Amino acid sequence: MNQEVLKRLRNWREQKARLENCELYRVFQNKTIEDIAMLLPKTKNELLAIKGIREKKFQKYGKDVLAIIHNCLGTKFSEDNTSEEGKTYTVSDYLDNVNSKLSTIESCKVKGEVSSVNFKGHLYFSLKDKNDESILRCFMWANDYKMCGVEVKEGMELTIHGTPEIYKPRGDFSFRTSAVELVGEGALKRAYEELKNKLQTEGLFEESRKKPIPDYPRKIGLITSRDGAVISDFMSNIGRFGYKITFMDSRVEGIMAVKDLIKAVKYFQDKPVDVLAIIRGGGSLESLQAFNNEALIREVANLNFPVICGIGHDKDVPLLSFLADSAVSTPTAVAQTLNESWENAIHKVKHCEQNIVASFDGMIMDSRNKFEKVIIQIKEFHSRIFRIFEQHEHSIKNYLVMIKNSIMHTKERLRSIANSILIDYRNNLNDINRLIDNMQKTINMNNPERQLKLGYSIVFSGRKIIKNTEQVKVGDNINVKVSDGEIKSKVKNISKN
Amino acid sequence: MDKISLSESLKKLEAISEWFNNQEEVDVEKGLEKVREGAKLVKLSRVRLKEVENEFEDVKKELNENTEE
Repeated sequence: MNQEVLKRLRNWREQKARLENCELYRVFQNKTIEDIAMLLPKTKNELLAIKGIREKKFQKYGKDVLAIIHNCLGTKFSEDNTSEEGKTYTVSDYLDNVNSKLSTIESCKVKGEVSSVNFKGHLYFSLKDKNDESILRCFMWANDYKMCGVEVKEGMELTIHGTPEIYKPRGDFSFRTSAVELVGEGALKRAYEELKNKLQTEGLFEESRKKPIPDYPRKIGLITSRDGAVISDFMSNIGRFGYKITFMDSRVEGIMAVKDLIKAVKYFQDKPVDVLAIIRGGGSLESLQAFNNEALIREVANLNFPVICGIGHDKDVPLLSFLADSAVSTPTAVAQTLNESWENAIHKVKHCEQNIVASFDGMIMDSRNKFEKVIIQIKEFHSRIFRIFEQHEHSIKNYLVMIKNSIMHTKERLRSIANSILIDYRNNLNDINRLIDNMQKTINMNNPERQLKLGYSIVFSGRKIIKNTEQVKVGDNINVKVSDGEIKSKVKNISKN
Repeated sequence: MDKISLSESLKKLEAISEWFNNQEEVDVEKGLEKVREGAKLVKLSRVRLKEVENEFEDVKKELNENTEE
């Protein structure tokens, strides 16, 4: 497959679809484009041999496709390859051929006054030239008519957008209208006010139905034009907060903008976005027509996620901005609104950080104070302990002195008692000695032998000691006991004193 | 007689002394017997008293040593 041819064909198809305001597959399906890039047809016949390309398609796009292939391959492209000279057509084929050629006429805008209107399933109307009263018959699919947001009436001045064709059943020339726009500020203003009142009456602009823009949005849907400064403004102001932005390119001005916008909004309908941003630079009521389109407004109203509008305007606020859940006047402001919660979060984090640091400092300070207090208490406690210890030491010393004194006193008393006992006992012994001496003296004194030795004698009469004269008479025998024996005697005389 | 205590010997001596004091009539033999007994008792008492005094001196000496410490 020739990648260069494939790439160029894809770009060409995108431009064509945009010009014709149709889906890509309406031009060529992906498979058809890939087959072309694979087979690289160089003539009409070769191109018609590819599935999905018939005469009508060839008439419409054939030359462009062949030109791209030849251009890529560096070969010469001759239109002779597509020449149909001398061919005879049926009426239908001929009209198809003519319509194919007419459809290659670039889509254009035509301005005129509505001279007749007829709605029979689809819209049929005529535009009259103001100057020479030329008439252009027009046709519009009901779907397109519904989408254009303009109720076509006789006398109305319109700008219509479309391509020419011949209506085969009648052979009439007709302008296939794809979009309609009001002309003139007065008409625009009236339509604007009417729609505004209508939607307001329906309650579409009520605050109560607005959804809040969520904090910390991540998935952003973005609808605006790829061209212009608006997207640059938005992108340069949207912060780096990890957004996942899904962008849908859309024309934001002109008669075809409504279709693009609706298509873009529909794309996001089932997408998991946190918020959808629709942005456009400033403009007049006329240039902002697309944002006053009823179909677009109703499409946006049906979304189940919040929408933020950033559409610049002069005097009249675009009706889409009234509907939007949040509306600001510039793309930059939209970016700032989306950034707000993130920036607040950063601010909060910084604030918390400062608070944490300050609190921690405070805690450290408190702890230090408590610590110092505890140190002082400990010091006081120690001092108290030492004081108590000193008191006890002093008391103990006193007790020791008292005990020592007591011991000394007791010793002294003991010594005294001992001395007293000794003295008493000595005295006692002395008394005993004296007593013994006295006893000895008494015994000595009473010793009869001692008396006898002194010269005394004892006189017995029989066994009795004679103590007086009465105890004897003369002639009695008596015994005289002396110190060394006895003298036997007889009484010779008795004389009394 | 040898085993008699000092206190008993003194009592006996006192009894002998009293005996002498109470005698109205001298019984020479009895008195002599008492004298002899008393003399023995005096001798014994002195010996015993000397022993007691010696022991007393020892105790006194010991006591003085203890109280000086």
